[in-house]
Formats: sequence, structure tokens, C-alpha cells
Amino acid sequence: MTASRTTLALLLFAPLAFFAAFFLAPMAVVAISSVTTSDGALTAAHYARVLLDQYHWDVLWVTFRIALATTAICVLVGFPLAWYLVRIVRWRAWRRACVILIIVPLFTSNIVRSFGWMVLLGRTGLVNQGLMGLGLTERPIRFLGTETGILIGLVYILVPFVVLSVGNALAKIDTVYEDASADLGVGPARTFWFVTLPLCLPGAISGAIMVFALAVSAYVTPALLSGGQITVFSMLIFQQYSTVFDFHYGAALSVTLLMLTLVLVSIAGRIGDGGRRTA
Amino acid sequence: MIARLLIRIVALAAMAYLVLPLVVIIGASLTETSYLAFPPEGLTLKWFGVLFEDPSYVSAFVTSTLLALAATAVAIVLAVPASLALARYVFAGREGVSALLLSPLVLPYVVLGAALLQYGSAIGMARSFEALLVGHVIIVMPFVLRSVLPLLTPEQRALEEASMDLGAGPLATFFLVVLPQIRGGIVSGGLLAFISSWINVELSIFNTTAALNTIPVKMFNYVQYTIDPTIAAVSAITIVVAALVIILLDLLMGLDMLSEPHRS
Amino acid sequence: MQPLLSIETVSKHFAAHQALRDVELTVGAGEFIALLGPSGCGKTTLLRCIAGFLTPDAGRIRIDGEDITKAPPYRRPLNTVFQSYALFPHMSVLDNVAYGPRRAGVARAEAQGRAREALALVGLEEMGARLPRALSGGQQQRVALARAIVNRPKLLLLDEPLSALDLKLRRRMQIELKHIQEKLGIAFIFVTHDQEEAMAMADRIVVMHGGRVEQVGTPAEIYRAPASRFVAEFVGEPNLIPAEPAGPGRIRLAFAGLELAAPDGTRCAMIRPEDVVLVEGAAPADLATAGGTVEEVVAIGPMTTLFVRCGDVLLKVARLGMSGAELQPGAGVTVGLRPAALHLIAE
Repeated sequence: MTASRTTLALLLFAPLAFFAAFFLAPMAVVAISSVTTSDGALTAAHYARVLLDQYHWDVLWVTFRIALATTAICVLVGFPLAWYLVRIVRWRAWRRACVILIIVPLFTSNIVRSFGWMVLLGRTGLVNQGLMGLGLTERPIRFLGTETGILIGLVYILVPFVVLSVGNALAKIDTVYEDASADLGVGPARTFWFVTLPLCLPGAISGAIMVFALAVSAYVTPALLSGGQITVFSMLIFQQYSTVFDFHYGAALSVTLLMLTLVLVSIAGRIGDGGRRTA
Repeated sequence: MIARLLIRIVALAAMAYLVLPLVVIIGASLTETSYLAFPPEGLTLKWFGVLFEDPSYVSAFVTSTLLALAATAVAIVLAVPASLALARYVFAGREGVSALLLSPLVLPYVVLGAALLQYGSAIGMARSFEALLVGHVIIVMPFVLRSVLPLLTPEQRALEEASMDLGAGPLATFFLVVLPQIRGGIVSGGLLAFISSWINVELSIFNTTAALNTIPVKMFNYVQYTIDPTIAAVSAITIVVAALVIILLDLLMGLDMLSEPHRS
Repeated sequence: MQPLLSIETVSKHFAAHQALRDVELTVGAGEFIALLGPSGCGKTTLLRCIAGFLTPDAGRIRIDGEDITKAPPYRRPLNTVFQSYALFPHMSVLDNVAYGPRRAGVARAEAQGRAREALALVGLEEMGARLPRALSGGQQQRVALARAIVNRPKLLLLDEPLSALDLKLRRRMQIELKHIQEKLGIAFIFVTHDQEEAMAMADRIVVMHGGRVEQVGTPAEIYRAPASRFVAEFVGEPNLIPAEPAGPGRIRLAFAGLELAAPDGTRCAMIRPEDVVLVEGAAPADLATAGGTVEEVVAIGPMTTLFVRCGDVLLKVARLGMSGAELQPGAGVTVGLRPAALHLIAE
């Protein structure tokens, strides 16, 4: 027993020490500085500043609005794509190619992906050329520096998460449930509504919440596609640390974002878990 | 039938949407013009040449690669014992340890980056390779952990016991029996770790300087002011690297995660 | 009279594998049919064709004369009990059973009333509020049955419904299923690979092998007069005694030099172990006898089987209880059989 305790301690010592030194300690520093002044006195002033300033509420509102819209569009685009890949595609090689094409963007830097959209969405970019070529608009539409532009970029980055989480949920559903429903006299559309959808809902919801959390904390994409016109929450944090150098105030902003994300992720985790237990 | 057709259309449009920017970037990197053009006007590889003659790109490339390699190596050395502990022992706080070690997966990187800058300044480590390295180790370790843990199954445990029963010590058992079984997980987790480190901006940006820069951060700072074919060329390289790593992963462990629905 | 179900030269193949070859079968109203065969014989494929989850490559399937070969499963007047039960995990037991009537437009109260009735029939009226995963395997099996009979179909398909249960529970469910079937008057098509189960429950057994129907008959016909060596060996324990031609229309068996009239091409004669006896003292005149040596004795309580070598043939002799269990290997015995009990197999 003692021997196994010793082994356990040996195995865990290095990883835990590393996390304590370079993860917990830095986070603690942030947490402490968010409630202290530069003299070390306790204060709630930084949080008060975050919460009482109308500007921050505006930024939070914009951040949330973009994140909500991103999540909704991701689900609307991602669900059919996941369905297509799991249920419609019969040719294995094509499905494999599609999965690789969905993952390649995930493995490519946010910058590269956002940069692609900067090129596409510019005044003379392919999108505007296409729209004008089709006669849908006479003058180029401004995308860069608008919420629409940020939305297009964020959806692009986050849609693979929805496809993968919904796809995994769908692939795990035993088709015998749909057979059983058909056997009981229920057609395909209502079988989807009463059987398939409820069964993959936990996966879809936890995927959606993950997307929402990632969209709320996104930095690179909004920074590049906003062209300095729109500010989201993570940009505020970066400004405090890189240009304003107010670490205390930046820390309060960081803790706010962190808490928000952790709450969302734990909700997502609980829903995902519940789904696994019911399935 | 109509629903099926509709799904097909949405799905194919979504695929096009996912592929378009990548195609545009690779296309634009081949243009002969000195401004970005897509479709490219003429075909040339000269922008890739420009990159490799620019010492700041070359040094950023070296920094990124060394950083990703070092972070992956340290992450493997830390994650393998941790996963053994989590898979093989029942102890108070096991859930907590596992949650802690996996939590960087869901943490906003901006927050961690800011924290490391602030902490680094306090202990005199800010804006250095070491500061970058520890941050990257923290964020990539969960990938290794997550690919190794599922391989340490109870059946695997029986093999270890057989090895001990046959007279092999713990170390010999680890190297002869455990390691060969989890090698696949280490390799695939390591590849994920490498690529996540290699493409990171949010974490690195706080601790980089003009002299110590990674490729993604350099690109980020660059594209905010200028867009030209060199940046398309760097981007194209990162896309090709990502595609190669994914194809490698696919060959190693099969990414056919969305395969046929289960039939009983 | 028109049969309830008729299957006419149905064939089905998967890639290079021919799963069903020209299957013919008719089922009357209220009949209990067992589809019996080893795994891969095509019995489940046939069931899925009847249910509508597979479409045959050729042939017709009719119910009450109406061609349903290409009808989707949800337009067929039959229901299925799935091997894995397929109870919807996100619905309560009552909702599972009420699912069929509800989706068919029956009002909630009425659908639940019917569901409660069906649950009462399988003895689970108290369990309606639970989720399926809170039930034991046997209870889930009953819920699956209740869900499938709630609409009172004329035909119920059961895909190895008892295979996940332990032996004792299985025996009990066999009897219970049979009673429910008789009470409701629904025709059952019951897929199984367990010959005892088929014998115990079915009015008629359909033995399948390699995608073909080998034999259709009552349990007694299948057991006493198997149409082929495969059926003889799959159902029960046969003694197969090789035969060789002994002039036109006659064969000679490799047992006691017995000669019999038999059609040309007869290759062996079958006799069940319980029809072979040990002879002590003078043998009755209608018994053909031969001397042999006991090779092995297997006594399992209700029955004792002796393996007796008579020349080239190793005969199994079955006796009730422990009688004969005292014989030692090597002991000399005389075995006898009535030639009239022999069943000739052409092969």
C-alpha cells in the first residue's frame, strides 16, 4: 500500500508541480491583482469599473450578440453538414476527405483563416465580385469592420466544432431506434422529430455551448476582421496588458471572462454527461 | 426526398465555405503581382523565396518550430506519468487532478497569456523563450493526456500484471509492456500538441518581442497593417503543414470518426 | 382461404453474399412460426424483408393478398420485437408503449389507456413511469413486447427476443410468450437459433440453411422426419447410419447387415438416440440387434447417453434418468432398434 502511494506520488509530482508553478500561480496572481491596488490594499474598484461603466456593457453586449449569432448560424450550418456526412454519404473515401477538409481549418492558425476572409471580404474581394457579378448589389458591400464580417469569420472558425460534436452524437445513435419507430407506423419526418433529434440533442447542445464560449473569448478573428471599428471583450483585456499597462484592471476583466467561460463550459459538460447517461 | 436534397445542398455549400478561404490563400500566394490577387495573375513561387531570404521570418519560423517541439516533448514527459497515475490509481482528489490537468482545453488563452505575462514580470521571466515554453506546455499537455488515457484500459492492466508476474520490475514493465501499447496515443497526442503550439497566437502574443517572435504572432502583427503575397505565402505554408499533419494522423489512427451509424 | 402472409420466391444478396435464395413461405392467421437456423442462415434477413427494413432483390411479399414488397416499414400492418428491444431511452416506459398510437393520431388519454392495457398484459402495469434503463433485461423484453402489440397487429415479428436473457428466465418467457400469443390470436414469426426454443413454442418450424428453406413442418415432423442431413443434425441429436446400395430399390445399412427397401440415392438412415435400446436376454422379434462396446457414458441426471461402438458405427443410446450410468467404458452390450423407426435421408 505504502509502496503504491510512493509510486503515485512520484508519478504525479512533476505534472502537478509544473501546473502549480506555471498555471495555478499565474492565475492566482491575476485573481489577487484584480482585487488589490498597486499598493497591495484590497479593493473592489476594478470590478466596479468593469461593471459600472456603460462602455463595458456596450462591449459585453456586442460580444454576446456576435457570439449568439455565431452559435445559431453554426448550428444551422453544422447540423445539416453532420447529418449529410453521417447519414447520407455512402462513399467512404468522400466522407473521409470531407472530415479531413473540416479538420484542416481547425489545425490552421486563426490568423490564416481570418486572413483568408480579409482577402475574400475586401471591397474588391471575391465575395463582392461574385455579388456584383450576380447583380445582387451594385456597389461593393462593406464587410470588414462590421459585425457581419466578424460573424462570417467566427462561424468559419467554429462550425467544425458543431459538425464534429453533432456528427459524433449522430454516429452513436443506434439506427435500431429509428427502425423501431418506423415499425410502429411513424414516417421519417416524425421519426426524426420524436426519436433522432431528442437522442442527439445533448451532443448538439453541448457543442453549441462550447461554440458560444469560444466565440465570447475569441480574440484574433474579431481583431483582424473588425479593422479597429468594433471592440469585443477579449480586446479590452489585451489593451490593458499591452498598451495601457493597467494589470489590475486587466486582471479584473480577465477574471470576468474566465468565470463566464467556466460557467458555460461546466453547463455544457453537464448536458453532455447527462446525454451519455441517457443514451 | 426534398429534405434530403436540401440537406445535401446546405452540406455541400458548407463544405465550399470551409474550403474557400484555404483555396484563396494558396492561390493568392502564387500570384506574380506585388499585390494580392485571386485568381492569381500568373504563377510563381517567388514569394516563398522572399520569405526565406527575410531573416525575421526565418528566425520566427525557427522559434515557432523549436517552441512547438520543446513544448510537445515536455508535455509528453509530464502527461505520460500523469495518465498512468489517473488510470491506475484510485485516490482522493483524482477527479480534481484530472479536471485541473485538462482545464487548459477550455480556458480562454488570452487570460492565460495575460496571467503568464504578469506572473513572469513578477519572477523575472517575462518575454523570454522560457515564458513562452511554460505557457505552451500548459495548453498542449491536455492533448497528450487525452490521447493516452483511453489506451490504459483494464485489459492493458492485465498485461502489466502478467509482466510483473513473470519477474519484470516496474521500469522494465513500463518500457517493454506499457510504452508499446500507448505509443500510438503519444504520437497522435504529440502531433495535436505540436500543431496547437505551432498555430497559437493568443497565448504567445503577450510574451513575444520583435526579436523573439513566433510565426503566427508575426503574421498577426503584419496583417493588421499590410496585406501582400508574402503573408499569403506564409499562410499557405501553415495550411500545407496542417494538412500534412492531419493526413499523418489519419493514417496513424484513422480520422473516420463519423463513420457508419451503429447498427445492431 | 387466403394466407395472412405469403412469401413468394424472395431472394436477397449483399455484395457477393447470397443471403436469401428463392424463399417460399405462407403463414396463416394466428399461427406461431419459428424461423430456425444457425447464424448467417438468412433468418434475420428474411425477417427484415418482411418488416420492410430490407427490400428483396426478387420475389413478392404479400399480407392479406396485398403486395407490400416495396412498402416502407411504417406502412406495414405488422410490428417487431427487436433483439436489442430498441426501447427509446429518452421516453418513459408508458410513453414507449403509447408511442405507436400517439403518433398515429390517437388522443393522449386514450393512447395511454391502451398502453396501460398492453403493459398489464405483460404484467408491468406498475412500471409505466420508469425509464427503460431502470428495468431489468426481462422487464425490458416485456415492454418491447407490449409496445409491439399495443396496436393489435395481425402479425408480430420477433428477432431472437429471448437471446439476451439467462436460461431460467428464458424458459419462463417462452411459456409466457406462447400464452400471450394464444390469448391475442396474433400470428408470430419468431427467429431463433435455439432448436429447443423452436420446438417448445412453434406450431410450425421453418429450418433455414445457407439462405434456403431446408424444411417446413410441425416440430414432430421436423424431429422425426428431417428432410436432410443438415436438419437431422441441427434439430436434436441424430444417429446417422451409412447405407450402401444392395440391388435395385434396396440398401444395406452398416448396422447388423440390415437390408431395407429404399428409393435410389438414399445415403443414410437416421434414428434418434431414444429409439435405440440396450437388449438384455432374448430380443423381441421386431428388433434388429448387434453387439457393441461401450466407449463413453455421459450422465446428466434426467438422461444418460451411452456411446456404443458397433463395427464402424458409433451409436448414441439415450436412457431416462441414471439408468445405464453404472456401465464402464469397454463393457460389451447388445443394442437393438426397430427398423420401422429408421428414417431414410437422401442427402
